[in-house]
Amino acid sequence: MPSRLRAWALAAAGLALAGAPALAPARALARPAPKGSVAPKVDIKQWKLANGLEVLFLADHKAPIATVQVFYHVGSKDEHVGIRGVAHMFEHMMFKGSEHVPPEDHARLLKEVGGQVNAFTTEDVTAYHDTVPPSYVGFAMQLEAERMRHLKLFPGTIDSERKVVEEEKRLRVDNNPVGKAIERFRALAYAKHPYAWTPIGTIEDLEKVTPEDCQKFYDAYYQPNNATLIVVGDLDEAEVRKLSEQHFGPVPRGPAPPRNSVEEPAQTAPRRDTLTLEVQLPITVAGYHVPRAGDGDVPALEVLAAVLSGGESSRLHQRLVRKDKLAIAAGGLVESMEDSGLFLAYAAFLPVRDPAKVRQAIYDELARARAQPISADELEKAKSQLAASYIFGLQTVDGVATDLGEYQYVHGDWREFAKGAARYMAVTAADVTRVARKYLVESNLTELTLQPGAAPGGASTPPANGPPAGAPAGAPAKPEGGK
Amino acid sequence: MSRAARLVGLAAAAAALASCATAKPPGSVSSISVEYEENPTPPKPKAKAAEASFWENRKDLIQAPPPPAAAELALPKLERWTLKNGLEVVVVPRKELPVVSFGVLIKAGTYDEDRATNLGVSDFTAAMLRKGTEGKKKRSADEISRAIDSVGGSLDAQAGLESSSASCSVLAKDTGLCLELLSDMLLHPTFPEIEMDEEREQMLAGIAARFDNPGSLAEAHFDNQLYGEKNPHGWVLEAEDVPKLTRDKLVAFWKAFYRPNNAVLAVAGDVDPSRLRGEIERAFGKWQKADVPARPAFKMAALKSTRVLIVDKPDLTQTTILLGHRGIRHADPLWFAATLMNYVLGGSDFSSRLMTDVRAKRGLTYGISSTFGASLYDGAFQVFASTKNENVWQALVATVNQIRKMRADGPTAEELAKGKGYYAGSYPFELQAAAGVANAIVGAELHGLGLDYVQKFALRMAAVDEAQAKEAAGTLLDPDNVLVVVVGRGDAIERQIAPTGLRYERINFKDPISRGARAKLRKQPSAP
Repeated sequence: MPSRLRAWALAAAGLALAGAPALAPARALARPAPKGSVAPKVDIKQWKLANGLEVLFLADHKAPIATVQVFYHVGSKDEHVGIRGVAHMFEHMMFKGSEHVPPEDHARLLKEVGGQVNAFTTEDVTAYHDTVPPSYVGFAMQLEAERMRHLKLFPGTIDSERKVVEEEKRLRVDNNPVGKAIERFRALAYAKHPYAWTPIGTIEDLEKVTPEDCQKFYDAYYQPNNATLIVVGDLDEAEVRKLSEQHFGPVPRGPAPPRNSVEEPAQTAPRRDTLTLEVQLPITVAGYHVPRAGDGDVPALEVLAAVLSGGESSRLHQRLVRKDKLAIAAGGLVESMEDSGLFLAYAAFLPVRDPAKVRQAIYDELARARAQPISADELEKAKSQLAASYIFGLQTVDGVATDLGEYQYVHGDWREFAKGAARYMAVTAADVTRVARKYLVESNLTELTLQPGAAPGGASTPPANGPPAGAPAGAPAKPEGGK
Repeated sequence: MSRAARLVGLAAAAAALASCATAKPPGSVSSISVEYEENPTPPKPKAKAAEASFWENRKDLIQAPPPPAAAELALPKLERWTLKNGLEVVVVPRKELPVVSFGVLIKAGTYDEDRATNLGVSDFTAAMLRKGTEGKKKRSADEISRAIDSVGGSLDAQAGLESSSASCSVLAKDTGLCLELLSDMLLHPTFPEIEMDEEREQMLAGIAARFDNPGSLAEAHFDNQLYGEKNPHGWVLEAEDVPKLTRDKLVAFWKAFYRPNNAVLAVAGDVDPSRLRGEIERAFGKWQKADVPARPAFKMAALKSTRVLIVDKPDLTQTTILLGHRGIRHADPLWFAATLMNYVLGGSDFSSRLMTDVRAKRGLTYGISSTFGASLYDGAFQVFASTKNENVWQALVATVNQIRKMRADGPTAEELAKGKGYYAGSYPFELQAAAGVANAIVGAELHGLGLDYVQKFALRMAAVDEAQAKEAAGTLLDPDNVLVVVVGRGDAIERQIAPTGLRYERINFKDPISRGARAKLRKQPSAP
């Protein structure tokens, strides 16, 4: 049976929101702590080793497991044209052998003791996960410390892994309409900043990456003073302190990592484009530049996203799916980034619908958010949703650790995670109107519609001459909404 | 196939590869029997050797500590009882976080549908449960959404092959709301006609979305080919099925199957079991029991030869491969042995034989994995891989040879020990959230496996011996008779498959997925 469409559409939309398809974890609405007594105490311990490695630990005794995660403060935003994709390729190289660990053995050895191993690369961070029975936390640390500074970068291995990464790009982007749309959208939204490309990079650049590029990248960013070790699980603090010192203490401090200082110039006019592919379900996305994740306006933007998109009673679902019956799914969210992020509103719809009408309905809803304050009920509902979502997020040790790592580098401080709902509870209806007026304006708009190409369909044999590629619906950029 | 015959087939296919002039007619070769080491583009041997030698004969490499010993899972103290109307209740109390999840499982799904008259009805019925209810309080679809959204909870209903379910998760303080909404959805849904068009659109969009996702498309074709037109697992919902689903059919399905004696309620999280009893009685005590139609049982026949379905999607730069054959039921006595054997073959990511050979050694795929499902009726053994269009044949050859090797020799003692270590250590991961425990218990119940299965899973895995693993490999793997579905650029793939003499069919990705529907279409004179 086909899965229900809504699940699909949300997944597709989730991809669109997540930035790099399936490389980044779903970057859901940031989870604030709940108000009042409902909030469980999240008692995070923090310390630093002499070499600059920061350690975060949260005891969680629900089950006999623990997660060891190392977050490096490096992502695709530290790349430049010519090495686009190197951060993610590096994530692969971290499994390809180090001084005392043959290729692939990091994952193999941990599996043998019941561990689960994963890694991901986003625009801002590269993270390595080892989830293990608690008695193997030291072993996981030993392996992570080993590859922090002892990787062996053989040219032959780089060549073969390059091919694997290219296959991954084909799988996740080139053969995935939503993946292609994300690529196009980013390139349109960012003129100068490296967020213009996604962590998967380009085949063109990947083909050119040399062993020297890799070594340079490794030495610049894979240093204890550019990393955070996060442990969540069934252990006590003294043990984690002892183990982290034992395994990571001997790693020498490295030079301060270089930082990319490219500033995205302020956008002054709307950008609109369409992408025509042989796709069955069109999607339209409207994005607006918003400040970096750590900015004071972000909590109000997140409340606004919840009002527009939180559940089936939310404004975009009510308007586009329920009332106008234009879309099969609609929503919005803040794509939080360490540098400037995006506020996104999107809809997926059947090809029989008029894309211009779909876009207009989205813009009408954004205009309404600018024109009048949200109701007290809506504000209350959004806060309840954000608060509950935070508590649900505490159910798995790996989920908590990943959130901590993202807050540490994307929001700039892990304490923001522990603080949680406090930052949302202070948001007022007037704040929401203010940020809507400030950011959701037409001159700040990037709009992309993914539309079905006039491709042959239905028949076993495609017609010799495909229909003309003309008449792409919605191609003329009509001045709509955004005012 | 005798060994001699296989060698002949092997030689023929190898020759076919070498030269298209000696191509065999389709159907003349019944299995993929090309010699294992066949690989025209081996990695540069010199570079490989230099790198491999770096770690050779070293005494200072990091070794894994001894694996954890398998142990019985320590479950929280469960509460279980059955209401007078037959509703089974399982409660898993967990106090660490103030959250609670409710799930009601209905033992009816696609398996209980009829191909001709109500395909899709279980899914449609479940989706309509939250579109309008009348209980103590009458609620429209939007009122239900507002109620659950306002407390930040989640409410969902869906159907699958074997079962349907309705679930609700909230903060513990909102337990009462969850019970009320779920009770109304299950006991008093109104199935408003006015809400049905929106759901029909969702279904149509779901059908359309299949064509955008090579993985889903391959899966749909694989199921249809493997399970066939007589087994609901092989049925594929098409656009023309959707309008046949009238309100009467949904109501009839609900009346027939949504009964307390055909359901299990699982509650997990921060609850007070003593108070909960009364609350559950008030919410579900008036649910009327009734006789429920007996479930049909489905058996599968083995494939008699290898066949290939090429699904042509010209814009794809990469091919998705699904290869497999008949599997077993979850309750099969060989299930643990099969799962452990499969862990070694293709179930353990980088540790697996398939990944080591097809990806790491030959560089033919981005990823490759295999599974033996855990299903109510006979499921499938499946290998999933993705590769460049040009590498399809090489990847198939390597895959089939790995399966053949496993069938002949089984896993080694060392490989089995590693697999057991993995299950002993990782089993508690899935069960760290209370809802995970509840789901595992209800799932085991549905498959007739009981609580014991959940508690002793790792012990059962540890008890599999070499002989059993070998038996599973020898009796359940059938490398000579596999179904292969490939979704990719047809021209590039057909060029590789045609000369081999294997039976194959090439279709366009937009063709009907059901074999029966395609046959019907071919019989009709084509429209002008």
